[in-house]
Amino acid sequence: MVKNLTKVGLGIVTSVGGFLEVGSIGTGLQAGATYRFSLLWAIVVGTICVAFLTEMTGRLAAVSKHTVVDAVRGRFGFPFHAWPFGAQVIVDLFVLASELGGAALAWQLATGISIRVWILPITFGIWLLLWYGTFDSIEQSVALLGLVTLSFAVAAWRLHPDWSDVARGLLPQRPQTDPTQHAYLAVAILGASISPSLVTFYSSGAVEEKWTPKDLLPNRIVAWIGMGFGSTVAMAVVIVAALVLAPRGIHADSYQQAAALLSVPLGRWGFTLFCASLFIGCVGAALELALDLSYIVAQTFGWDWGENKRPIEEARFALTYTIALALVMVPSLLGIDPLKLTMFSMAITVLALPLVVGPLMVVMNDKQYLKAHTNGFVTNAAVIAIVVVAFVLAMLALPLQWLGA
Amino acid sequence: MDKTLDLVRDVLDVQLIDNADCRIGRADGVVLELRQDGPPRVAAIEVGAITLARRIHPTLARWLRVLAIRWLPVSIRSVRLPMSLCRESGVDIAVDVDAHADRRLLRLEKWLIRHVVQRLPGSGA
Repeated sequence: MVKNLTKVGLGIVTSVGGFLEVGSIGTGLQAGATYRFSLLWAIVVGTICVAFLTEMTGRLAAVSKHTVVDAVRGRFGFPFHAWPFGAQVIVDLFVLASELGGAALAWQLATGISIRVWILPITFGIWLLLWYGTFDSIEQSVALLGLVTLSFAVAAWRLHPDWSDVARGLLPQRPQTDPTQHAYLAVAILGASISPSLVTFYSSGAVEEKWTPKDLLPNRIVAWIGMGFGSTVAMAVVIVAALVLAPRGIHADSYQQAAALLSVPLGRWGFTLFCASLFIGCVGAALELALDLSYIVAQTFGWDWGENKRPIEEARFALTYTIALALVMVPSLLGIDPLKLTMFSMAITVLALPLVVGPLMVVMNDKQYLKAHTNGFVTNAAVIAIVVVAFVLAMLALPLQWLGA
Repeated sequence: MDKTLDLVRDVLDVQLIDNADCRIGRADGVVLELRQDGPPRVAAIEVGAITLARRIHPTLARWLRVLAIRWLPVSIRSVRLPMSLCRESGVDIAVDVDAHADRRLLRLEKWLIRHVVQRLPGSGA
């Protein structure tokens, strides 16, 4: 029972990186403030895609003891693998830079002191957690602290939304105004939630936790519970923004505009909870991304890896996240706006998505890796649909960002 | 390895593990021995960044070699592991070596441990 509870932690940590980080909160706030509930369907679609992807990659790890990166390099060879690998390293670095900026922004909102002052101690703190911590300790603390983001769900509940209106938003509908920006926000929500790092991080986490074929049922439950948690909070962000910001004509173009969002339903604690949620979501996502960078580099080159090992046992793995963290501080130190960085990161995330997700169509049907647990009809249909979604998003991302952002 | 292997599917790019179950790299290349009295034979597996770069483009491999000589404290010359030391282990290849004792293997890792990681607090040294 306790062992299964710790597995839920992996689902929640992964979902924090998908749904509760700086990009997802930002797009959720804009979607709710501008279009009320009409973009909730994009979160539902994102949740279904991510839950299918995490279940599949968790299954691959539990049966074969190998990760997605292992399987893609093994099956497709390095000359092909170099493309998704290179794309994902670039995406992870940019998103990591955005998350550090988001965490520093939370402190700037709370204290009024510039991001440039906060970025160094926050990055150092994250490095200390990675250097001294184990995968289990990081996973459990992020999962536990991540519960603070439920304050958005409580706020949504206390605002007594018209639930029939909310339910209507679960189905795609034609917007009454500015369809280009509406489409852009839909792409941004999907792009922020279906992140390539979720796929590689979750399978690496399952190998770290030594999952076996006995864990296949828990894996399925964890994938859906974890993503359900992230999705619930992401939808709550949209609902709160729709009920608090939209009536006041605030479009949430910046976090500063949206910071008082929770004060209406939650009183004087609202502002603190908003900053805490933003900070914890961003730190959780930053930990996930820094680890993901080390995972994909180590697995691509066949190095020994594992956050449960001490740095002296896998120096290159530990130094990869160390160098990455040092590099990604630079944009915030130079004063680049975290929201602009986030928007750019989301656009390149969407472009990289087909490269990372596409090979799963082959890998998840490989009997040498998955033995009797290859994809069935439903999961194959799901992965094809996700690849189609990924390609459509990649085609639309840049034109829509240019026209609608 | 006794049974018939598909060279590209079962050998090239596969994870290599040593006697202590430590991941020691991937099969970045294979070395074929041409024989007059029979078909070519796989003589060794090659491990190393230069071999890997050569598979993308020979120029990339040349640049990498020059950069490594100029900037890296240890050689990144590729290592050849004779096929006689290799056997299948699931989807991986087990190599009959002890990577931590073998001076040819994990050169950069060992240098980084000695000169960087070991000197930092909390490294587990």
